[in-house]
Amino acid sequence: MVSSQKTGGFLAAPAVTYMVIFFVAPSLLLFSYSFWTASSFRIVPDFVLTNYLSSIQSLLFLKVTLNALLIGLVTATVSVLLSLPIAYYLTYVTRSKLIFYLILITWFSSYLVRIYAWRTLLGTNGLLNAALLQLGIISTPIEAFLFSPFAVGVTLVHIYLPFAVLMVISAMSEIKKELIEASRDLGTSPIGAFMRVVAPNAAQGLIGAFMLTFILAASDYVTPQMVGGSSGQTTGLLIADQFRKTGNWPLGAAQAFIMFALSILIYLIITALARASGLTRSRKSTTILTQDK
Amino acid sequence: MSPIIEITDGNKAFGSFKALQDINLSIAQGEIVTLLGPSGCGKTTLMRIFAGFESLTSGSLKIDGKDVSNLPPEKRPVNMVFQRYALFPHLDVFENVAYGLKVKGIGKDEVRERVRNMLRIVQMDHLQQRFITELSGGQCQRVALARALVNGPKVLLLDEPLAALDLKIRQHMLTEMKRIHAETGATFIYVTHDQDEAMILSDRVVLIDRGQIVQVDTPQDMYNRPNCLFSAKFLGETNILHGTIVEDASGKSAFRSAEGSFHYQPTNQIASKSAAIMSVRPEAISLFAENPARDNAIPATVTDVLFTGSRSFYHLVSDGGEALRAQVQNTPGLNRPNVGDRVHVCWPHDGSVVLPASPSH
Amino acid sequence: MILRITVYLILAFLLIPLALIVLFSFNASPSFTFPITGYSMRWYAQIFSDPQLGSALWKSFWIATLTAIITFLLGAAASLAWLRLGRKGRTVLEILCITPIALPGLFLGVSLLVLASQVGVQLSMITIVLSHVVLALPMLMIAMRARLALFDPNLEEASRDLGASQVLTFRRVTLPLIAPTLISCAVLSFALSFDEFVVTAFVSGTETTLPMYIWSMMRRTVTPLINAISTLAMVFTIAIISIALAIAAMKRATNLSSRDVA
Repeated sequence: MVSSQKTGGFLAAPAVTYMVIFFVAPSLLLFSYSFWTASSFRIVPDFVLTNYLSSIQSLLFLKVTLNALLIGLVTATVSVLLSLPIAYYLTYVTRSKLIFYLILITWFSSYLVRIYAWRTLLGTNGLLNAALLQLGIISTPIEAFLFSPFAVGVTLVHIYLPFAVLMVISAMSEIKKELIEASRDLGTSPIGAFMRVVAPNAAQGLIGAFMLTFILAASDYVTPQMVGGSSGQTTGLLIADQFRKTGNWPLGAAQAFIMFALSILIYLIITALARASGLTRSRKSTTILTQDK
Repeated sequence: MSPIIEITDGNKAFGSFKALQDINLSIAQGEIVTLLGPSGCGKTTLMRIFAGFESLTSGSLKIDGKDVSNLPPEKRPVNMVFQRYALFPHLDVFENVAYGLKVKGIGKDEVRERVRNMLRIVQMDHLQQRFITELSGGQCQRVALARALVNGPKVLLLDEPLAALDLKIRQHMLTEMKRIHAETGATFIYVTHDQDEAMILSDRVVLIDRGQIVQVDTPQDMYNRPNCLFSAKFLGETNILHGTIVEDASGKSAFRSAEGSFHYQPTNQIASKSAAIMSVRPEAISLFAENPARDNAIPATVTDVLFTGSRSFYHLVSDGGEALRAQVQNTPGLNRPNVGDRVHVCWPHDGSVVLPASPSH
Repeated sequence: MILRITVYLILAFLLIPLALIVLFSFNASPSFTFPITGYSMRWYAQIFSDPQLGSALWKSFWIATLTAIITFLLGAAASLAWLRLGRKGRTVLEILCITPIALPGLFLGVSLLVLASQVGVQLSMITIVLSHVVLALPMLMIAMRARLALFDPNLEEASRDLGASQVLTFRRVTLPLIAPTLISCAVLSFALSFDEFVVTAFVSGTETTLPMYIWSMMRRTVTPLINAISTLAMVFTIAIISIALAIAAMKRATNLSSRDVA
């Protein structure tokens, strides 16, 4: 009905206006900043590509960006892989509410607390070293636990795994158990059923989970800084520092958009890979099957 | 008596799509009228116009003598039973039925009295405190009926109310619906695509096709005297022969097709030599082992026999190549032909309807 | 069986670090080594004697409360809009109110900082609240979209047909059906805001919220005092989540029924 559409528009207006002011406008402003110039702590409206060009010509920038992308890819890969058994277990084996709530609680438990937890676990005087010393496996504390790429990876996986699990569960819950049973009935193994039935149908959701985890992990500048030491230099930290310390906002803005563009590029590559491997192509036909039920 | 619903020159368009065209219909107080037609024909749109969820693009709609074009749904003296019931999941049975009375501000005691009474009529008084989740499909159906009827609507609109039920319950609910109609005396307008429901339930059937009313008649008349090919084919099964109208030696009209000439009882005037179709119901056809030496008999071969207990359905091919179907009562002791047998197919003069071939619909 | 062991191992990985935080918050000595020689509440006592911490906690509480209220109001209106809009309107709503979830906090933080500086707004608790809503609203809208997809639009029509006006229909049918999800999402918005750090770091100016305070402590030292604060924060979060889940459980009853009836 036309009148209900009008009411709808009226009701949507506050949220839409809010997001235009506090999401669209700042994003566009940040984008225009990336073409401005900063000289002696003053930001001058301009239209130059210097910020972009100097960034991609800077060896440091390229190094930390590569580091950020690697951190993101590793975290996302490990998180999605680890979330598969949990999601499968919760969707098809037992609908254990307790496990689900535990995961929800870990996701909402403090971000900083979890970084802090790994700092105390991995530090020179940390629990891991203490345990290994007491067991006599090592004789002097291993300093390399903390402030290493390993520490960054473990902490980030710990932080983003619950999120990945929740996303993968929601992707899997759309696939009916009957489909897996049918596949088993037709002679596939449990893993075969997963590969041939669940994965193709959940592909879109899995890619979504991977990408969001990737974006969050690659741009996380706090964790690498706190547990990564010198290996914790990432684009996120660089950008954050532009806005907090050195004050070259246009440069920071440009770097943020380079990160943004790289994320989109990675998304495109992953979707292309999924399509090439046939994961997403077969999706359509199987969706029709589920709808017929 | 003035009609309870009267729609004049009604048109409804959604953008460039004409959902309803030139609708003229009046429905009398106390009738059960079925809006029948294939899905997408506009019957549900027509019902939603009655309810006030859609408005006419042009034309007028009167309910109980008053123009209701500008009345919102809540102000109209009609109530609706939704296809999937639309029972409120946060309320129990009693509260669902009481909803309409409560929003009208009727006193507590009267609400309780009327709800109980209505629940008794639909035989749900023992489940008043149940939540909707705990009901079966048939029970939901009864609650939906009670929720609408308790408001004492002048017209009850039912949108394919039995579509979600299985066959057994559907048949039972049909008889229940007739009983409830008799007890409440409300006018029922019933939307369905199921011809059996339409024929069992209605005083009159409104047949709709592609947004237009094709025929309005009692179920018997619509079945026996369809006014066009669409009517003939939509209600029940029928055999359609194509041919022309000729005058025989005695000046009587006859229908001539590749199979031969057939006599019929003219119900409508069709000019001689014009193209026509003849509709012959399967149950009008008799099968004879020998040529019965009567009018309207043609030789044919049995290709298939479907035995359904009291009746058998015969699939036949005439010598002229026309596929025919016949329905024969399985009287004990009767000799039934088998697949491959040669038979003669025969029907009486009043066993067929001849219609103009021009596709009026 | 292998599957179950794997699942429990992963759960252990998730939970043990948090459990250790809690355990060592009761450690009498400031060191982080086993065996624990004695238990004490001294770190908790220390929290309550720290006025700075109290003020940070109080600020975070108010910011989270305001964030939850604003998110609830915007989200409630947008959810009702979603039910009434056609495909185009829904797409606009989704692009604006859901896609921000795919952007990192860093990006939102710096863009909001840029906006504030361009408009010339002083960074304060208000800018923190406004920023937190940008994070919380998409989360609420995602949950609401899943809920609303199950909402049978015939229910509103049935109510109108039975004589209830638009307003009455909203009060008696629509709101009772979507309220549990809305409220539990608003409670989660509170939890999200209470713990938010990345965006806050850019838009807080001189204000110190609880996460900001923990952060400054963390950078300086490792002390069981942080464990005690963390433990309290976790207990608080668990309480909040439990409330949200309890409200959502009410939702499930109605959820199921609308699915059955549909």
